[in-house]
Amino acid sequence: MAGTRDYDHLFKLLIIGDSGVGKSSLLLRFADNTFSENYITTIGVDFKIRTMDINGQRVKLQIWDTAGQERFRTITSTYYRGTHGVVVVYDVTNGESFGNVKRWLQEIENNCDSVQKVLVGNKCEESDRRVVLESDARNYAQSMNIAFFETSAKEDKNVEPMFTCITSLVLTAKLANPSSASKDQHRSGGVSLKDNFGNTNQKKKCKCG
Amino acid sequence: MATTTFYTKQRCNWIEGRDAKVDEVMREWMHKFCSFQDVKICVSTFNVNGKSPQSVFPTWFSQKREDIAEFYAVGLQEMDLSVGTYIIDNTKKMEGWTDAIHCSLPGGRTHFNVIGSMRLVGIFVIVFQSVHSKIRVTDINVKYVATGISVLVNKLGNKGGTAISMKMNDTWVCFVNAHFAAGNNELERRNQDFRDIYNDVVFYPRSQQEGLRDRPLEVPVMCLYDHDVVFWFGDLNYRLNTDGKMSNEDVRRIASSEKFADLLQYCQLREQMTHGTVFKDFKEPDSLPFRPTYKYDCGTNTWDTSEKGRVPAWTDRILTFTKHSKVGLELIQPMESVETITISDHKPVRALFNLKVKKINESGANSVYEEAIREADRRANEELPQVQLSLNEVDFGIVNYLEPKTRSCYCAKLLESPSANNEIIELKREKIGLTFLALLFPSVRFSFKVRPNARNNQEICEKWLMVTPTHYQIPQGSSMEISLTVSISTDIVRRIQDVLRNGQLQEILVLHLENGRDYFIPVTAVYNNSCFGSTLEKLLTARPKKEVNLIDFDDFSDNLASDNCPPYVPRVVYRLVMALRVRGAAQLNIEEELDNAVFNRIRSALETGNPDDMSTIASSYMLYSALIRLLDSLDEPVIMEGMFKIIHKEMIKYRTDARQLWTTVRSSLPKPNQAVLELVCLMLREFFSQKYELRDQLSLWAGALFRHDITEERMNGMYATVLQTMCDYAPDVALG
Repeated sequence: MAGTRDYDHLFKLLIIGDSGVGKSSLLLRFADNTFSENYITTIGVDFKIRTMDINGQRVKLQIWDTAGQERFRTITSTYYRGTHGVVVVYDVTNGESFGNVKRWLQEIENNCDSVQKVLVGNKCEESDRRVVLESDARNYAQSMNIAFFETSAKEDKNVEPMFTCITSLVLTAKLANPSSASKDQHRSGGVSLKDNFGNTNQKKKCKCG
Repeated sequence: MATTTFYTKQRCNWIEGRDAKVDEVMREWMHKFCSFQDVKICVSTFNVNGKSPQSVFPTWFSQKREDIAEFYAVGLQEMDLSVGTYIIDNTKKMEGWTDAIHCSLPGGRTHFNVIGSMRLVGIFVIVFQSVHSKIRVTDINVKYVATGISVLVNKLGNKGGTAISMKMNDTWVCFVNAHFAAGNNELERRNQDFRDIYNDVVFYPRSQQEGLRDRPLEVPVMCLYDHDVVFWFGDLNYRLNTDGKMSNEDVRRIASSEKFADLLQYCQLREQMTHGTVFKDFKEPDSLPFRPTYKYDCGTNTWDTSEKGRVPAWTDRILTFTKHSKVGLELIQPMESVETITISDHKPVRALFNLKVKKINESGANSVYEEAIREADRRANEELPQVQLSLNEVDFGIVNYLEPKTRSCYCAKLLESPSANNEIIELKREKIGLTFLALLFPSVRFSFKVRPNARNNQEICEKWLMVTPTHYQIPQGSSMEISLTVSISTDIVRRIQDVLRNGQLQEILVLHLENGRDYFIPVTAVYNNSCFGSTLEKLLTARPKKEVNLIDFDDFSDNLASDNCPPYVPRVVYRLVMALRVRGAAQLNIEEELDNAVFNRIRSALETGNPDDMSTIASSYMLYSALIRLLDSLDEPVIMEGMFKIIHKEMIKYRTDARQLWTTVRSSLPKPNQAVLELVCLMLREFFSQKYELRDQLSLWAGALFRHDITEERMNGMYATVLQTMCDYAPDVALG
């Protein structure tokens, strides 16, 4: 019947972290329940949607997967706007990616006002190649006061709980302070990036010497 | 591994109408949680012309055992034509007709119960259910809409509709009985009657009617299209429009013959439905296997013999609407009219349908609901546009000044499902040696976005790069060529050092798909440092210094000509000037067309020093243009603006005083600038003396040397005068 809407909340989540840590794999596992062994670098930003029920509330998530490469950093940072929650991913077999977590957290500080965060150590199925101890990462997360998960997108371990956790954090924050969290929402299901980029129909003028 | 989970998962229940995508999945999966029951529904419409009924009409409904329906829905029009009916509610006629219909049902009145009825003056709808029926009928609601003549505020109910909505088990069914405006010429009013009734037949679910008065807007409304099935019947009054091709007699003759079906092509209703004007998404059988039901002499089967002599028409119709293709509604017998009933000037029409009435197993529905949400999300994600780019990254290699280089990137829509891959057309583009896929799928729009942190905030990329097209819709089944061009124009080359990053030209394009993702396309090029876009200082250090007397211009030796280059004059400038002077003004044809390939040859010769003698490789005019370009492309103009435009001001002030001009030059310009200016003036003086009309070129040269704002016409003339004065008097002459 008319007059009702298909979700109670619309949230934008962002997945960030170094190149190759498995950001796209986490998204694919969570949104489509698939996994691919083939590594394809994300060149740009992609998104998928997923609807969840949290405490009886219908939450529509728009989850943005960003390019991890250093050279895209200045561009990807513009996608932080309007984000409700950020998933910071490192690879438990790659110490450098864990070392860079600090930089990613700083990036969030620089680009977001108030946002929920979760730290994720991915590829936890690779026990032989692990270099980042779970306890170290957990301690670090605790000291930063952010939620922590180790996941395996490949073997579908902890992916669902991790996303449920960040979504719950966002929902709780919104319910505690309804005005601040709702202003970025758009009814039509898309968190518009138009504002970030101004008029997208600009024509490049032909400049010849 | 996880931190404590502080959320609880609660099961949500499916409420139809919340999310169209989920509903669609649930409909497809209906067999998982619904049971279906075949129910026969007989619908009949009859314009009774204000007549009182007989006690029973034995032929109105088929009495055959297999034709007996579980529900009978009957619509009457003109049940009461007496004037008083419009003012005083007189139920006598209604009771009489209700009884008559009830008695005419197969098995008589004891076999059926009235489950709902609604009357608007003479427009009467009634629904009966068999006493043997196991269907649970709930949520019965009624509504009337008057569309007739307005008297004061209210409309009289001489035209309009009456409707009954109900839920049979879990299938929503609505019966609408309507009487549209009469008359051959009232087509538009009939269409409007349809629209009015369609809009205004809305029901407020019973449970919500209590609080209706307080918050009417918040109460969910059940519209016609919210029903699974709508039966719309009545005297719709659409006539035959033969466009004057046929006389009334012709129509009557055909209507009486076996060929009556030929007349349906002239039916106004069919025509309006074809145009989509009315009854959109409603269905009627392709052919109507009965003669027109109007207009007869009452008590007979002969066409209207009255003065008006109406042309026969199918005014009495039964149409159906189903909410979606999964609703199982079927006409199980040809629609028919009952010619044996003659009391009216119309004949009744009847139709027998079978409806698969569904019963939702609620726990079953809720158990598949979550799965359906996932499925709906999956489909939504599949529908997000994706494209395949032939290049993830564009590297232009080495680029030169004024030598544009173009690369193409192909963009094609990606396929979602592997099965559809069979439809891929593979295309090979020899041009760039890339294979890409053109796909037969819906179009996708793209546009390049302006980067927020770009140095130039308005453009999608920096000035040295051109992208075409910047936005486009990739049509179905094709791919799109996006052309990228690096072009180092004069105004870019002047400040090329600012543009370079790590010695490279670098840019990242952001290609945005409408309602979809963004792609980043890095673009790189290596700029080949050139004598164009350089500074006089750099050009000077690019050659060995050699002290030569200024006067020795004509002193050619076996050595390279440029060995005679005076101090402070860059060798490239000297070589061009010398080549031009050797050729002389006579050979200079300023009408000649510029040739970029020749220009590139000149540039290459200047940079490599091979050949040293420029006069052999290009026409005078090309050399002349190259010299202007070289001076014009310098990082700073030869005659610099200096602090607060002092130099320019001085020169404008003394524009006809050669002595003052040269004094200013000597006192304010660096040595290389002086030397180049003197050399150019010397050359121009020679040229002007050889060919007077070349003086027309003064403003062009002034533009290259001063690089003032050429849009200021008054200033253009002044700068040209300055240059002319300096050309006319060499510094040694002017300064004595």
